This record gives sequence, C-alpha cells and structure tokens, in this order.
Amino acid sequence: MTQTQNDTHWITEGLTVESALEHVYAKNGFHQEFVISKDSLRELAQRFRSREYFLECLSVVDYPDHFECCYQFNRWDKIHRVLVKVRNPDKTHPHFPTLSDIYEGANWYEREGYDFFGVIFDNHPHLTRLLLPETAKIHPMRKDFKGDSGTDVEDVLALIEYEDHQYEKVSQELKNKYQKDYFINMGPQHPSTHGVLRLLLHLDGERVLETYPVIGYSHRDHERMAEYKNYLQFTPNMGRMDYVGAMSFNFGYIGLIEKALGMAPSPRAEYIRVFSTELNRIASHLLWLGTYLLDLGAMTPFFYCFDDRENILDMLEMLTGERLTYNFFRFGGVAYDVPEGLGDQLKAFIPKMRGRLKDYKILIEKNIIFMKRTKEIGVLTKDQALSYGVTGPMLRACGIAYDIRKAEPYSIYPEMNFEIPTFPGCDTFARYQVRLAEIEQSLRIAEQAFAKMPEGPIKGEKAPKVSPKVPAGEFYFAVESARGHYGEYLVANGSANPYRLKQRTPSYANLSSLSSMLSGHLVADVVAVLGSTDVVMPEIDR
Amino acid sequence: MNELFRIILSLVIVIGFVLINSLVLVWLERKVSARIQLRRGPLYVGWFGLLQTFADALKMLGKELIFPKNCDKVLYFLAPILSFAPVLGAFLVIPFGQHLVIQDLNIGLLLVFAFSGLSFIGIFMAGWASNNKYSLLGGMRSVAQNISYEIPLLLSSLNIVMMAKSFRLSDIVRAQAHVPFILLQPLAFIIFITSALAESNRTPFDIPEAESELVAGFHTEYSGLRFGIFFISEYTYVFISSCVATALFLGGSHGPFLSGWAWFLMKAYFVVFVVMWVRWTLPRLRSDQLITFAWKVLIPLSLFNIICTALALQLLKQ
Amino acid sequence: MSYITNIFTGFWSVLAGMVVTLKYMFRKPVTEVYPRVKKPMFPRFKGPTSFVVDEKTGDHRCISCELCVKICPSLCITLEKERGEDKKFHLKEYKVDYTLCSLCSLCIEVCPTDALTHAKDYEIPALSQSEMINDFLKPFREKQKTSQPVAP
Repeated sequence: MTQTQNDTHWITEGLTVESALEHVYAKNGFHQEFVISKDSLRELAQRFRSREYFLECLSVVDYPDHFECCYQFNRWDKIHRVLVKVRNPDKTHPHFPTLSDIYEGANWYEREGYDFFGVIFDNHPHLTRLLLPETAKIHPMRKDFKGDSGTDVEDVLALIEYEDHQYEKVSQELKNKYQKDYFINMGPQHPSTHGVLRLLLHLDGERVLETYPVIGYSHRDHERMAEYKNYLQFTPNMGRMDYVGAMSFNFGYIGLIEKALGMAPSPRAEYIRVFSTELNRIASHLLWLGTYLLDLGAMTPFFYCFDDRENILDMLEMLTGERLTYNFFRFGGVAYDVPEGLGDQLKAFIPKMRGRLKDYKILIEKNIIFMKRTKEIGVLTKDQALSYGVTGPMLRACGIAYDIRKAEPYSIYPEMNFEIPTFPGCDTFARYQVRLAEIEQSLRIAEQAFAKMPEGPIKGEKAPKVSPKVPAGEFYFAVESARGHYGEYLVANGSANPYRLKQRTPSYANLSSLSSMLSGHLVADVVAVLGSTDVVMPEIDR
Repeated sequence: MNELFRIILSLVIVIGFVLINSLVLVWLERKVSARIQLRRGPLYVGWFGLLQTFADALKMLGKELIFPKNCDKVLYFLAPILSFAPVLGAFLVIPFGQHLVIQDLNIGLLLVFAFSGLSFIGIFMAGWASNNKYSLLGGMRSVAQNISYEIPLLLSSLNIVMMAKSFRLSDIVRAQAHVPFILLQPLAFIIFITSALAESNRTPFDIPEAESELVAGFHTEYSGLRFGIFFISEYTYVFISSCVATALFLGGSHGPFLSGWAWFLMKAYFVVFVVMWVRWTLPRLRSDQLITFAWKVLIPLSLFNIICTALALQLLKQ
Repeated sequence: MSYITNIFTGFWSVLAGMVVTLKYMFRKPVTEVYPRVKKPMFPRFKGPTSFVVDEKTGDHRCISCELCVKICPSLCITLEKERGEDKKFHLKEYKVDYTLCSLCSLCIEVCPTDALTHAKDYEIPALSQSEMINDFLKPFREKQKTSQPVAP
C-alpha cells in the first residue's frame, strides 16, 4: 500500500486540492479521496486517462448545501480506486465540466446526472434526458423532489406529441440533407433487442452509419426507492434489476451493507453464497448463449441451453424457493440452508453440463456460418474499452484479465481454484469464447465450494434481526456479476435508510460502447453485436 | 375438349394437393423441429397433432384482412397471389410416376425454373407495397438473393441435362433407371440443394424474412389469409424443389417393390426432411456473405463441375 | 489452396452440426405436457403468502403485532385489529394485494409467531384487480360458519 501512496503524487501535482484523504481500502473500498476544484477536474481526468485508469462510476449526490459529483477512477491491472469529488454550492442549476470527450463512458453518466438531478455538464455534446421520458420536467433524485409530476396520462400524451414533433423535424431535416439515407427504429418492440431497448439506426442501404441507443423504457428508479426504504426492505429490489443473474446483485448489495457494518457472514453462508452465485452465473451465460444463437438465426441451441438452464433453476429453486428474482441473501448469512438432495443433483449436473459444452462446441463454435457471422464483427479495442469503462466478459474478450473475483477478491473466492479466461480477439467471437470458458470455470468453483462447505449456522452471530442502521460514511463494494463489474456506492448518514445509493451496473457501460462497435456494419450485424454485449435492460434502466 | 377437361381437373387436384401437402409439411416441420429441440410438438388435435395445422389454418382464415396505412393497395393485394401462383404452374411438369405427369413438355426443366424464378417478384412487391422499412429491406434482400442463386441452380442441373441429353423430366428420370445421378454427380446435388434452399428462403438463407433482424421481413405487415398464402407458397416451394431434386438426382419414381408414385413421394419427403433438418441446425448467413457464397463458391464450383462432366462424357463417347 | 480447404472444413462443420442435432432427435423430450401432467412443487416453493392453520386450535396464529405491515417493502398488507374485552388485540381484517406483492418473504421471516407461510398453489389467475386482493381470514370465517351448530 505504501508503494501506491508514494507513486500517487502525479494525481494532484499542481492542481487545487481542497482536501485529500487516505482511505483504508478494507473498510470502505476506496484507496484515496480528493476534493478538487471544478477547474482542475478535466486536467485530472486527462492524467488518469493517460495512465490507463478507467472511469468506474460517476455519482451525483445532492447534499443539503451543495451538489457533488463523485468520479471513481480505477485500474485493471492493479486495483487503485480513487474517489474524486467536485462540489458546486449552486442548488438550482449547478454547472460542472464535462468529461465526455476524455472518457466516452462519461457521456451516459452525465446525461443521467442531468436527468436525475438537473446538473448541467458544460460542453456536453448531447445533454438530454436518458432514463426519463424526453418530456419529463422533473429531477426525481433531488432531495426536494416530492413526486408531484402531474398525471401519467398527460405525460404520455405529451411524450407522443413530442415524439411526433421530433419525427417530423428529423424527417424534414433528412429530406433536405440526405436523399438516400434511411432511419430505422429498431425496438422497443423488436424480437432481438432483449427487452425494451430502442436503437435508432441511421442507415445507408443496409449499412449502419450511426447508432443511437435509446434506453429507459423499464426505468423504475431503484436508487430513489433505496432512499425511501430501509436497508432490509431494499433487498427484494436486487433481483428485479438483473433478473438473469440476480444472485450476483444480491451479493453486491448484501456485501456492501456487511462491509459498511463491519461484520462477516458465517462461514457456511459464504460457501452457499458462492456456489449459488456461480450456478446462477452459468444459468445467465446459458441464457445468453441460447438467445444469442437465436439472434443469429439458429433456434435449436436455444432449447438445449434452456434445458440445461432448467436444471440449474430447479436446483436454485430447491435452495431458495425462487426461480428467477432471487431474494436469498440476508445480512450476515443466507435465508435458508442447503436442502437434502441438492448435493446429488449438483453432482449429477456438473458432468452432464461438461458433456453438453462439448456438443455446443461442435454445434456452434466449429460451425462455419457462426464463425463467419461473429469473427471480426463488433470490434472493441482495448483503448475504447478503457474509454467506455467496459467490464466483464466484453473486457476479457479484449485480452484483459480484469475480474473482480481476482482483482479485489471478496468472500471466499481467494480459496477457490479457478482461472480468468481471456481471449485476444476483441470481437463477438471472442466474447462467445470467454463466456463459454467462464461456464467451465464456474462449474469448477461451484464444485469446489460445495465440496468444501463447512457445517455450522447459516447466519453469523452478529447478524441483525431487524433492518440495521449503517454508520455514517461512504462505502463502495463491487462484485463480478455475469455481465461485469457491479458496484454500489453508498452514502450513509447513520439513519435507517441510505442517503444515496448509486448502482454502477455493468451493462450500462457496456451498452454505451455499442455505437462505436457498430459503425460500418450491416443491419444483420446489429443484432449480432448487440447480442454479444449481453444486455439486460432492467439492469441498465434500473 | 377432352384435353381442356383434363387440364382443369389436374389443376383442381394440384390445388387440393398443394393445400393438404402444405398442411402436412407444416406438421412435419413442427414435429421435426420439436424432436430436434427435445420437445414434443403438437400432440392432441388429431392423430399425433396432425390436425393442429388445420386448426391453425382455420384460425388464420378467421382473421381480419388489413390494409396498412399508406400502403400501395393494388400491389399489396397482388403480392401474395403472385408469389403463390407460379409455384402452382411448376407442378405442370413434375413426373410423379411413370405416366403421372400433367403435361410432359420437352422443356420441362426450364419451365420449372422459369416459374419458380417468378415467385420472388411477389416477395419484392410485398416488401415494396407494405410501406414498412423492414419489409423494404426484406424485399431488397430477396431480389439480390434470388438473382444470385438462380445461376448455380441452373448450372448444377445442366450437368444432368448433359448426361440425360434432354430437358424433359420424364426422360431424365428414365435415364436413371439403373444408377441415380446423385452417385455420379454428388457435387451437383449439393450445389442444387443449397441453391434450392436459398431460392425458397429457408434457413440458413432466410434473410428476406430474418425474424431476429427484420422482425418478419417482407411479410411484416401481412396477416390472416394473405400471410397464410405466403406461408403455403414457401412450403410448396420447398416441396417443388424437393420434387425436382428427386427427379434430377434421386432416380425419380424408380425403385423396387412399390409403385412409382410411392417411391417418388417417399424420396421427395426425405429431401424435405433433410431441408428441415438443415434449417433447425444452422444459423443464418448475413446478406453480403450469402451473395459472396453464391458468386465465389457455388458458381465456380458448378462451372468446374460442368467442365468435368463434359470432359468425362466426351472421353466415354470415344 | 486455402480456398478449397475452407470449403471442405465449412462443409464438414455443417455436417458435424447436423450429426449433433440428429443425435438429439432420438433423445427423450424433456418438456412436460403441462396442464395434463403437473409437476409437484419443491418444499420451498414461494407461492402466495397465506396464514398457517394452527394444528391445536384450528385457527390462525396472528397476534396483530403489525411487524409484517411495517417490514413490507411494497406496502401490500392491510391489517385491521380491534381491542377485545380481554385487552388483547384481535385480528379483524388481513388482506394482501397481490398486484403489489413481490413475494420477497420478508413478512414471513419477521413474524414472531410463524403465522405466515408460502402456499404451494400456483394456478391462481385473476381477471380483475379486485380479485387479486386476497382476504386471509376468509377460509377461517367459512370454517367457523360450518363448524358452528345451526341456530334453531
């Protein structure tokens, strides 16, 4: 740790620093914290960019006397999480400098900040609503927002009028400007946009010139809900965000609160958590594989994948009673112990799954059409991945072994024997390879965790019976979900509910890189590339 | 007069056969896909769900026929008919048995290709008339695809014509009395089946209706009976392709023990099964790759095959 | 040369894939014919919440402490109680709105008398929102009616 401290003079050298803090990483997840002035932010960001730090998260927090933008920078190779805060006491229209030209991933984070808080990022190229409808006149995450937005019907009518107007405007502009160009709204009702994503494609014939993802159709404002509910009441929400890999999200939230409370779950619970999370990860990857092949036009692998996934869901239902939106983890443990018969099922499932993987390889990976459709399609270079803050299998398909389970190990992952599969292809085929290799690794982890599981209680001794009160402070905890880095930034003020709970969801950053991956490809590649990002819309829209 | 009566009677029989056949084919497709995908398929309506497709067809008949806003009504109305009618014409020359052929023309093979080449006009009209962007893309893809794949289709069947020395389908079948041409021309058979798949818009070449990209492609805006006609014409096209493949490569109605038409139908349905099996195994090609495949792989290969056949024939003659 | 080998490997890969699908074709289907064949639910299956029928008294165990109402994240429980003559609270009404309930089972875990449980029922469709509001006391009232002797 001293090494890092010595090396970090470059961060603030010559900049106006209002205050600097050295954090204890084990306590709240940050290494260093700086509060700097607005003017030096861009300079600081450029320094981070040039040293291969990626923008992990940007959270806006509404304090009673000022707005605060919290930028988190981190590294892939050696974990060093720096929290940079910029404050602005203007409570009506706070201005901040934009980072969207330095980190392209900041684009969406800043739009979200404008959307939720009314924070204005100067010189942002396209500062419009992101998650809320374009006509919304509210900033719902502000503390003074009381929920008086008018009736729903009026909002919808206004939106329709707005969209009609926009459509006319755009089409008129197009008529004048490009005679042969073509706009297509792919989604929100489309077979392969995986839920309610809308892609506004600007086409020349079948060639995609530009892509504008429009998100927010399943936006429920979980972050606002978190501020209204107490810590325990918010747990069911986790399964509703990433419904495909809900266990990892359970892990993220429960782990965060446990970290903030400074308590540890019982050893048995740790093992139950790990093997159920890994099983859920396999289920998530299988669902991805099936639907991805469906996107490419092959329907049969979808059913094979769902057959395997059904086995996993059966096991998880035996364990948790739920099949999809798990609410299984509790503060200090898990809800139920391992039932009888689960071990036998798991032992039967693991060799069966390994046999199936061989079939998948023959049926899919070796297939000439699959290779033609995926190789050198949707290339995301390492530099672009850095710029967008892409994580998870998409990043590992660029050949970078960044996995939270190894990079900043949590729970009992250090004891597990597994590898981080990486492939250098940077394309959709490499993403496929990474995910298939991860299924194998997850099988290994689940096998080990189940075998090593000790006897004992499923809840720790200090496990709170009622909703806990988290001591004041700022905490960050990240887990590796099936889609990548899932982190949560908690600002607690010692009361029964969070002051601010920012969810850094993996698909959000991954999807924002879509437009750069797509330019120059054909319409058929849009679904191939979109499928390879493995988006789960409710997790992006939150 | 007698001849006219015969033609009308055969037309009625053909239409009846086409309708029943496509219902059976849809059932077969469902069963094959279900078994490949570890499912059961239709089970309860009729014997092994055989009447399920009939029930679905009835449902389709009961649906409202809609003209979408701003569509070209004449073309929109004509498109399904135009895609279906040429396929019926192709039945004219298929030799189901030794004498079971409606009109044994001496240019039978060309007639089949001429008629089947027409059907994409209906598809393109549907794409154009729907006034839907996805449909338009589907229609454009369909034209590109049909133009590309017509060539290897014809070139590969040219080998057979050279060997049988006739365009008359019954002559071709007669030439295979001892050895079916698939044994002599395996490459031509593969090229023929591949191009026939592409011509009939089946996976892996179903890009005009690629449901994961273009929603439903050229028939996005069609519903009810009109959609049903597109559906039937696709299956009939598959059947026609299988019949032609049977006549050209599998020895047509030749076979021991059973009567000719039974052999012919068995062989044709086997080819249909293979087509379905391919469909439920492979992903879809991209439109540019599809056309590249036709021009860079299929056409050179079939030209090469023609040269080889011509050389072999000439050498054998001497 | 690679042109020809590409064609061959491509063709071969297609054949290999078709062999896999053919292999699966002769396997037993894995689907269930659902409405005709019903799978038993796992013991932990989370159906709709309902009252536990106490084995001794034949009545519910609710003591109207309202802990479940307080913990419920989706505010779907309505509880009405009245103070009886013995100074204890008696449950007057207990309704759960399943249009809101997310089956998180927090109410079951918080209950001090284990009065709540998940039912194993899963075929409970409703045609209107009012049908989704489940009155937990209804079966108990009906039982009271039938068990009481009919007044002359």
